[in-house]
Amino acid sequence: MQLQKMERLQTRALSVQCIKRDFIRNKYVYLMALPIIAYYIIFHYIPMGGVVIAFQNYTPKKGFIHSDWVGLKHFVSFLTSYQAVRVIRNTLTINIYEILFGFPAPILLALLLNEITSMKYKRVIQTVSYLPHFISLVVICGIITDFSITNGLFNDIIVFLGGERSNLLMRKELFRTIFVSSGIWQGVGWGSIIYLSTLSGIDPNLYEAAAIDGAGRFRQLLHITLPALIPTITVLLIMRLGHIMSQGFEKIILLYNPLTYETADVISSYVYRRGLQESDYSFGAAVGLFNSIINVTVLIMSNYLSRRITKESLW
Amino acid sequence: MKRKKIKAVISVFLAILMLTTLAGCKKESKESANEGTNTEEVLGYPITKEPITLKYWIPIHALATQFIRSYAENEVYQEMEKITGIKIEFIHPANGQEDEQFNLMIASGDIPDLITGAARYKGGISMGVEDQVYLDLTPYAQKYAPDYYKLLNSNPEIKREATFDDGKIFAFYRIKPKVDVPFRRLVTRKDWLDEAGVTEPKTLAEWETYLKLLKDKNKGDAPFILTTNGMEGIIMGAYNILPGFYLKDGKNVTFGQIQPEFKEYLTLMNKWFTSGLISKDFPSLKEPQAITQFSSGKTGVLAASVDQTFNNAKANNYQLVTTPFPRLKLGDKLHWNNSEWFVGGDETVINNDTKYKKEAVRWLNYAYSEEGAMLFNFGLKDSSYVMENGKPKYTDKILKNPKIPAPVTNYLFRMHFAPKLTFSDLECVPGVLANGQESINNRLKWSDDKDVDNTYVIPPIRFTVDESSTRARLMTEVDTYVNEMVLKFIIGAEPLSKFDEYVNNVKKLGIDEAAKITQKAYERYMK
Repeated sequence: MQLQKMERLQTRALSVQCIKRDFIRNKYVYLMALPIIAYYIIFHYIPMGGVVIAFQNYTPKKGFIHSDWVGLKHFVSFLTSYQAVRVIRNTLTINIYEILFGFPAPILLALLLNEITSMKYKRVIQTVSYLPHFISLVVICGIITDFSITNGLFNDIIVFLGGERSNLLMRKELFRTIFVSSGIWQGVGWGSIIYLSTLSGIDPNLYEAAAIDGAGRFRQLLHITLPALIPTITVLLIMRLGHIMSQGFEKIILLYNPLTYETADVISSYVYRRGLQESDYSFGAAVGLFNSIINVTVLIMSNYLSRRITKESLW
Repeated sequence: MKRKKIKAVISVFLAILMLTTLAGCKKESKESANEGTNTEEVLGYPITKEPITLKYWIPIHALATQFIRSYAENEVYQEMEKITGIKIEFIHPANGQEDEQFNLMIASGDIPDLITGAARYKGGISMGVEDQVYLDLTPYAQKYAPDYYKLLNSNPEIKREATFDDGKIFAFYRIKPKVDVPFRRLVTRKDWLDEAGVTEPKTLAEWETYLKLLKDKNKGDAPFILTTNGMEGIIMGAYNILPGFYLKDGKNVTFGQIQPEFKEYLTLMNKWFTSGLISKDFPSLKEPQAITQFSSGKTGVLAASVDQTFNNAKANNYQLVTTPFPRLKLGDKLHWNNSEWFVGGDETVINNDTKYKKEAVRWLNYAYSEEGAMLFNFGLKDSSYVMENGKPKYTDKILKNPKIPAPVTNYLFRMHFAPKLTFSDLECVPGVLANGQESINNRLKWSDDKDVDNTYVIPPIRFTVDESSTRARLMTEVDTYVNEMVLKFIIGAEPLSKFDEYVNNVKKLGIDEAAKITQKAYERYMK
């Protein structure tokens, strides 16, 4: 008993000492980290206090302290609203589609690019694939709309393949496909950068050794390239899962119309429409908080699962 | 560069000149004003003898931002600074972020002296005054804004629209005492009418015949582009219902989209859509895109601005035909009219805590004085306009500027949107005057229709904080559902036999409560 206590005290003293020594040895590193820590505290942690407005009828004039408390009124108002089930369902489905189809796309592109031996060709492909990332969303959606109308390019292709003309953006069953695939087109190049940088860090000796052992390109890909990517993929996937309830409203409201509400209306676009009629901060904050709680729960769960299964995790 | 310098020198010189003349003749009275003996206060221009700076929060028009970064570069405000002696420091929110930045400004507590677009305040302007953020102008108006005060009292309807309970004055509005004739109508092309061998349609049956003829002759992609949400007020007006809330029989607030007449409207639109008279793409075509399609001959009929389509037609060498509001049968009386109210937006308030209350009121009043209104509506004399036979006439600087498109000159050489005494479109809007008398006649056509009034249109009523929050909650649900169902009914995705079920659902979403709130606000307004 006594011994155990002593030991514990000793280790605590030791760890304090350790930290102290670490501080002295790496003082410049800590100094450099200071502004970033301060940034997070000032701009990310302190404003979290503002979440109280989700439980108030907040008005700027009265401020956080004097606004009237209304408890869970805004949460109830959102969850009992006529469209709540639909917008939550749509947010989840679009996100799941994006994870299912959008998440692997940059990995595939990176792997393909990695197999290209001509540097010049590779650079050109990379640059071309980045380009859409820099085009404004409004322009992208304008292009999509123009291509999707009855006499648009997409319909010309459909007719060529033996289909019939229709306005694609008026068909609710196609909305998710258009939304997700245009998202892939726009983001695939940009998303592949992080994987390419990981790939460039692989020791070429590994490939050489594998080649000597008789491994072909596909074997090399399977046993060297992919395993090297796994940590990056895991981290990014966990972080992506942490956004499962988030879906920006900009692209949605640029592409949807009442005919596609059934598959296109998501939480953020619903809040946006409601906000249009009145600047209701508290309602917006309540919905945001609701989303964040689910996001964090999913994040923690996926991190736990990942740690159990792949031994890779965020923490 | 050089020209700017010369301008600066001249303006400094002018300022000195004005100051010295002032100092010479008005010294005595100025001093007494400072002592607070109001009776002898002189209210001429310039407003102050010492130059002061007022901060002015006003959204800048998106067109203006193509050429200038601030209204300080607008000629009207530059001239005003010379006349009033008050320098304005403009604060412009970014385009499209006006609401957010307004709220941030209020929340920050750092509130400028003048604010345009002040109705963004949660609970409206009266709430802003109650919270003592905005200044109650009532004690100041008569004395320091005599021109504005006179204008408000020139017509009881103007006064009703621009003042609050008990005739209190809280804001300066853009006021147009001579209301314009409707600008939006069903339009078509003369050559296509001739080809179809008909005259301009006046009833919905005639429209149907005409659209069918266009369809048979394969003119364009589709004969008609219906408005994006499928609810065209001009056509609904023939049934004497309106989209959204309207005043049935001129007194009862009613929601148009659940009336039995609306079913008839939907039936007709559904018939037109399924027989190919309406563009298949209409729900995804916004108005500018529809106008482009019309101008380029891809469609033959459109409900749009008669001025804009007329100018486009001129540019594309065909003749535009505007039509009277359609009816079910000739001679029907219509109770809606898409003309405006006397009082427009651009509501402008003064900060309750500003040091320069009187000066700010007097500065705002200038735009309602005779010469101020000329400056705001027409720009600089002998530069933007010249007087011809006692009437102002735009120069080519406005109408045919090689560098700056006509719509942009509205925000560079004149102030189209501002708290001011506004002249009617036919007098002063370059877009309407672009093609001279011809375009004026085009706008005026059919406006002498004696059987059209606007007794069914709800005036600009105001809601309390609680009312507007309840109404917003209810109407988000209602609008989402209604917009969805209306399009489905029109394109045939839902059969019209489900109309009664639809009406029941809208009622379940609380439309009656929202109507009741609106009725209450209307009755308060009319009191």
